[in-house]
Amino acid sequence: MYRSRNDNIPTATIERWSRSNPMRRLGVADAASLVPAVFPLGFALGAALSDLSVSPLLAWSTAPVLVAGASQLVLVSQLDGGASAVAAALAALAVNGRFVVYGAALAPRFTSQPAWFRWFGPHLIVDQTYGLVTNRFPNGEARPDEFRNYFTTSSALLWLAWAGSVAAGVYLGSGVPASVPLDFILPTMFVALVVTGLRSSSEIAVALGAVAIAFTLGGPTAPLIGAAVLGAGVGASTTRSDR
Amino acid sequence: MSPLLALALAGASTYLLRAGSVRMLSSTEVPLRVDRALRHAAVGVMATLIVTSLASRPSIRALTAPEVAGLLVAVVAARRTTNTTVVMAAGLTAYVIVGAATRLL
Repeated sequence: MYRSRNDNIPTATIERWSRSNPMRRLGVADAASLVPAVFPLGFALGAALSDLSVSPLLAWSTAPVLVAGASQLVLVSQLDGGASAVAAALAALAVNGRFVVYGAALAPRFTSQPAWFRWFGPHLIVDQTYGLVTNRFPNGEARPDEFRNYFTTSSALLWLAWAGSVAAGVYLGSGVPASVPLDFILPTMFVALVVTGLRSSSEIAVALGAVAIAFTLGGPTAPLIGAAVLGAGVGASTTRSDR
Repeated sequence: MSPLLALALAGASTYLLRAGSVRMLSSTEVPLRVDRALRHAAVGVMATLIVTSLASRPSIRALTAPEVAGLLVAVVAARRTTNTTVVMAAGLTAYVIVGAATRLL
């Protein structure tokens, strides 16, 4: 039986709404455990976007449309610097290559889903939702409706938190106290998502190898490609489920 | 017009990145070996993000004491609980405490 990551979160309203569907309740609870990390990041990003010379509405619109902080900043920075629309879009796209890997890894779980979900669901695949889903259903053991309910509720809550926090940052400006360690929130969030989900020796080996590659190669893109190749090689050569 | 066009292009292309692989692979039976390869590749990508999101990257020698302490405590916490809030709180607390201690010394 599944257990909640954070049983303190649901309010009476959410409880009423999710009572008939435990997957929705789990989705809300799991995603809510990440909101304290997502909100300050979105706020800080919004404040950074508001310093650039594009309209606040356009700056905020990148949040619900792209749902990817780094590429949002890249897109708006490129426009601020006078880049053409195509160049700015390509620069933003280059940052998002990892979504191909996430989408491919989640693809089997979209097989028996209704058409609306197969079309709309991928838009909400981000680092956090991928981490939550694979931690919650490491072997893809959920029924299609269970996966759909969990994914939809958890990703919708994170999407709302992201769009809301970026809006707050864009329109309210930089109001994050200096004592809040913004720089370190993202690394700890990724540690929480990755390490809690490691279940086999081969996964641990891939994670350690990826960290070593990242420190060795440096830069934002090469380590991602190197880690994906390493992971694919180790995964393909693993002869059993190893879970 | 140009900013709106850029947003539309970036939005559409990012959606295609996400949906393309989902649509392509969800309509076929993925062999077990390929499934394992994809899942391990995703683990590697996410583990990489731990490092690339660090302020002091790209060198391991550039890591600060608060970052090392925060990461170690977060990793230990993550091996003991699946509660992501607890893991983040533990890592951030260690980061803040060691950071304060470093400034005092």
